[in-house]
Amino acid sequence: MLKIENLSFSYPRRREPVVDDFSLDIAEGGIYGLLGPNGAGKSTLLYLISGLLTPRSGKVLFKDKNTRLRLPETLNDIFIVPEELTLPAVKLDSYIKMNAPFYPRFSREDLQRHLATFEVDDIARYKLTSLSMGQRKKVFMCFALACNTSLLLMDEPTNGLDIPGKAAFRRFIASSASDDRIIVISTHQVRDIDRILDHVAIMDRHSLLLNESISTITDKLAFLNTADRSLIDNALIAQPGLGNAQIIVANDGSYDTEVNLETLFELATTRRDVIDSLFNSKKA
Amino acid sequence: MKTQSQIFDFGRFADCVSRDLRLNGKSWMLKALMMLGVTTLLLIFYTHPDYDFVGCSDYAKQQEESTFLIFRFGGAAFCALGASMLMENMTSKGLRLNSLMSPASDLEKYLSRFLICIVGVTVAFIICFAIADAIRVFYIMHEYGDIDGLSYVGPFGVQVFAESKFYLWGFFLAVQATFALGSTVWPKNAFLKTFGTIVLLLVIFRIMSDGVFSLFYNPGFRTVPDWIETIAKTVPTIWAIFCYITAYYRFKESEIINRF
Repeated sequence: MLKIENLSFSYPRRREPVVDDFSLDIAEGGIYGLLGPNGAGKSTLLYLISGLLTPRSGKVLFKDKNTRLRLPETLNDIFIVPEELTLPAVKLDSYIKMNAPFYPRFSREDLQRHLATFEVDDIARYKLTSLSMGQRKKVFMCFALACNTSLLLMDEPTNGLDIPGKAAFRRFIASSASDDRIIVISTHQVRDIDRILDHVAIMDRHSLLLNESISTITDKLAFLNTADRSLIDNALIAQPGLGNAQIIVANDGSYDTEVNLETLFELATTRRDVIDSLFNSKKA
Repeated sequence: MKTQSQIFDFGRFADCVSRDLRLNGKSWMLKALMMLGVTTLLLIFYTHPDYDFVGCSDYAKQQEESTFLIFRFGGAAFCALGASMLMENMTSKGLRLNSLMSPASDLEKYLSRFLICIVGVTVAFIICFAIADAIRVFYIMHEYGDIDGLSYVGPFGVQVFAESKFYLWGFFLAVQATFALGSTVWPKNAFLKTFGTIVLLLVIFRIMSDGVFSLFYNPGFRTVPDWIETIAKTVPTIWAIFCYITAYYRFKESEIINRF
């Protein structure tokens, strides 16, 4: 469904490319986490995917159409939620009347349902610009999901959300996932999306370190919170905490654990050899 | 399911225009009111029987010259201001994202802005001029009674005074198109930046052409051959077409960040 082929991009007056010979193939729907440190090129990659930037080389194909051409049939099937929003000074109803006609699968019922999930269904009488940053983000994400596009790109979606908002965000994303919809969430706040991802891609300075499904990762790695000294000493990585340490060990089949994205990110960025031998050896 | 054209579809184009008008409708109304106010004041001031800025002996001549002057230069200024707003929806990263990701073709988005900022502003100026001239006649009649030669001129009457309608409309087209192109180069403060650039280029051109003339020709040589006049008549229209096409391609190649 989404194919990124040998994508390279660099900003003017910067020697190093932001994205260098990047390839990724997403065949089916699901929730994809795009993780990476600040400046790794996550937002740039999202802009390249949506056709908002022109790559130096390579291309992005969505349903076999080059997204850079920005064809209406492609644009009405893609929605991007940027980190910083610019919304017009109109009420929600006017906003819907202005934008919904462009999206053939837009559903007002879905929008109402999502607004209720985020507890912002009472904002109809206010102008969008008079809402707080968090409220604006919630409303915009509700509209984005209600457009029912096959590709939804979200850049740091939990920035500016309050604690109940983050919990609601997880519920709302999990309930919207389907086999024919790709949701790509780019973030460095990994705890906010810990348990909703189907797939993880970790970027570091213009290249992809890890690109695996959650099930493959948990088949090969076990994520433990332990005080056991022998386990800690033999761990692939250990993050000390109060009393216990968060560790990753190779999974020999005896563990059934949930992914801890923070520790996985630490492993991917500091122990590339481990990641390469476990996940990338057969691909090379 | 009906397949829509990916280059131009009238339904999508109408949606684009409707969205642009909903977003900026009030602001455009205020701009039209301002245009009416300024045009009215200028018309009254320049055709006032107590002053004669254009140096005419009779009122009919003063009225003719003044209305023509304001129609030409006022129109050019307002239409240039309107054209400078062609890329108003591309002034920030957020606005660029909203505009570029809107599911319509680049041609539809560009034509929607063109319809509002170029055609809409021109029509609005013509209407404002018609109303302002009627107010002028009413005001002068009210203040000074029936002056010899006082009459309603309006936007269509004023064209009679132009030596060539081709020159008049060519001039409008060229000015608007230049500012439209300027707005694709500098989306922010497009009017001032384009105006500054035009002035600078004209000054350089004048100095260079005077220098070349004095070097190679007799200082008394000032006769313009016929063929230059023919070219001069067509150049503004060709320039306008060039500017609008270049502006479209600049918009089409726009990205979320202004790289070029």
